[in-house]
Amino acid sequence: MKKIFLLMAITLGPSLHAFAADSADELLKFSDRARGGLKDGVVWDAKIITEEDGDSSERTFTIKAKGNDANVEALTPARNKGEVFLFNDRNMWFFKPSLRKPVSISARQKLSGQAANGDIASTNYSRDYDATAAGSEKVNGEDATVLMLKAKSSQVTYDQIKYWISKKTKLALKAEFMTLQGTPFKVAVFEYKNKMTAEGKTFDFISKMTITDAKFPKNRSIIEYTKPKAESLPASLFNVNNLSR
Amino acid sequence: MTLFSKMALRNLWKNKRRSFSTGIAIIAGFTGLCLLGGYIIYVEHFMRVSSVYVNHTGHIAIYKKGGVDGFYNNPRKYHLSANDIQKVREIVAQEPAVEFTTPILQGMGLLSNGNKSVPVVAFGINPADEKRIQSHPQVATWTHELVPPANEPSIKDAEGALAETISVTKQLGTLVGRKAPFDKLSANERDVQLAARTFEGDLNAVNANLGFKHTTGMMMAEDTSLVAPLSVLQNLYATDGATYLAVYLNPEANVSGTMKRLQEKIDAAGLDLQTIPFNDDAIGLFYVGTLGFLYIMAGFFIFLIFSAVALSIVNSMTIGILERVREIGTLRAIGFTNAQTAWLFTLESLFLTAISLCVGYVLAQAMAGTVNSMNIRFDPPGIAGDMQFVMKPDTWFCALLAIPIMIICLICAYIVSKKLVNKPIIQLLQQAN
Repeated sequence: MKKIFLLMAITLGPSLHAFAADSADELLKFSDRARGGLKDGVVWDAKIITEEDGDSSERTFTIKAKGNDANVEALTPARNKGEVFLFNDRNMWFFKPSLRKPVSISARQKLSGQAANGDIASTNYSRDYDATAAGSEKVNGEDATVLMLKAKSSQVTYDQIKYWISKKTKLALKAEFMTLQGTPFKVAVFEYKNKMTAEGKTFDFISKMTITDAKFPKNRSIIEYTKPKAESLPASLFNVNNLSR
Repeated sequence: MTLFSKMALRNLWKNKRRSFSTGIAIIAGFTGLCLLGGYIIYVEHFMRVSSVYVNHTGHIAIYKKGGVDGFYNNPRKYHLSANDIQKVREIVAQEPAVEFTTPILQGMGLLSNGNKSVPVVAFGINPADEKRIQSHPQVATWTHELVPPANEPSIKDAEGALAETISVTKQLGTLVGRKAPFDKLSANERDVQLAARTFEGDLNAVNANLGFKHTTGMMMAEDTSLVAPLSVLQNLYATDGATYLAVYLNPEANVSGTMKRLQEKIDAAGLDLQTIPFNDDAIGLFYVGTLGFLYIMAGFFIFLIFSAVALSIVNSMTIGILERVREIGTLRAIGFTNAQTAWLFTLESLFLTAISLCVGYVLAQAMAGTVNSMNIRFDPPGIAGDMQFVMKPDTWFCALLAIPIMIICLICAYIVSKKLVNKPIIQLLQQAN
């Protein structure tokens, strides 16, 4: 009998592992949709409220995303109006009207407070990270599947993410952003009070992401997402060569 | 000239072989010490001028209190505002030891060529002040290899039509895909952008032109160093202030004394600023670390050489006097007192040592001149590129070295001769026979 179990384990082990990996990827792909990871165009506004060392500031942006690309335009404060962050696949560019050429920047650099450049429009975790299932835990009383995400490239925003996805809604509830050594340095929690209709379906869409410094919880950035809507966006909007024209 | 002096000189001339062998021991040892000291002094001057002038630390840097450590984390809190700079300049202007001051703005950022960005550590300086620094006599004397030749365009010329022009190291230029000389590049290739977070925390970028090349003299800074006109960096960081005010003193000025007076005046004016000397490891870690290591090594070698030289001199002198027991006996027999005889031998030693030290000094200068003219180059650790092996024996340092050698020779001659003259005359004459 023991031999039969051993044989089953040897023969079925790899396929069970593949099944687990597939479901982790599927789960990640599904949760991405509610954070803007849609193949067709999607537009929303975002307000970043930063609280750091007792100071507070606010910035607003309009984000236009399509597939792997995103165009983020600063609306306020007035001194930043017209500035554009362009996500071109995994490359990221910064441009403002006074520049002769766009500047290549890193998604890892700080945008405002705890929010990195990549946080505002990096919605495609399933493309950027390899997911593996790491058990189940409760987040605020809700059952969640824990995924460990490892970066596929050094160009993505974080090296590792511990990601909690609700078993009920399949939406991300919480994320711990970790260093290469596995130490969490930022924690994010997500809320989904927006609704979005795309690809013929209406689904919950992210409304708030709160990113907190793991060591100094008083330092945090809140990204509020408003007016999400599906919209057909031209490819030229994401062409870096068009920025300086 | 006294009778004793004449006799001492005649004795030296009479015993040429003995005088020559003792003299050679003194000359060789003293020349070696002068050359070693000359090299250490050159390196100290090179490091000091490199730190103070080429790397824009100034003899004294005036920061916001806590700014040395805090500026990079919180530039908004720890920068010098335009108002701070104006007030502190009024205070500094009252100090006669101050030659000039210049505000320096430092920061991190990115240098982008339109396709790729590389991280940089940026220095912003007024081009007119940079011109003064590059043409400063101290720089011309000690670190002329680290600044561009006067006729070569550099950040000092970044005014008028060149006001947007920046300077980068050759290595940084290569990293961003641009090869030196940068002023020969096409307009499109020279067109670069600088990006950084402003003091308010926003991402900002400005246009610039790549035009000049410089070197920091420090290997660890060669792949990130960028020097820009102060106005370009102030635009980039959205400020009208600076990181610190570099205060340049007259070369003879006492740095610590001047700094103390300035700090007292700054405190009295109620300004929340601190003065830091260039040789404080808070701002001059490379200078302090390199020289600390050099001094320990050099101190050890000087001790070894000095000990060998001293033993050699004592040995030559002792043998020289011991060989002359009969002469001592004769002098005593014709009526010289013990003290007079001992004094005669000491005087001989004084003349021989003085002549040998003078010859040693001239030889050291001649050897240093010859070595310097050969332009021998080497790669010292931590220094960017190669540098000339230079020795500059300093007259005062050599004089300082001469004192203990002179004292050793005199003591040795006096003790040995005194010991001999105290013996009975008959014994001295018999011993000689």
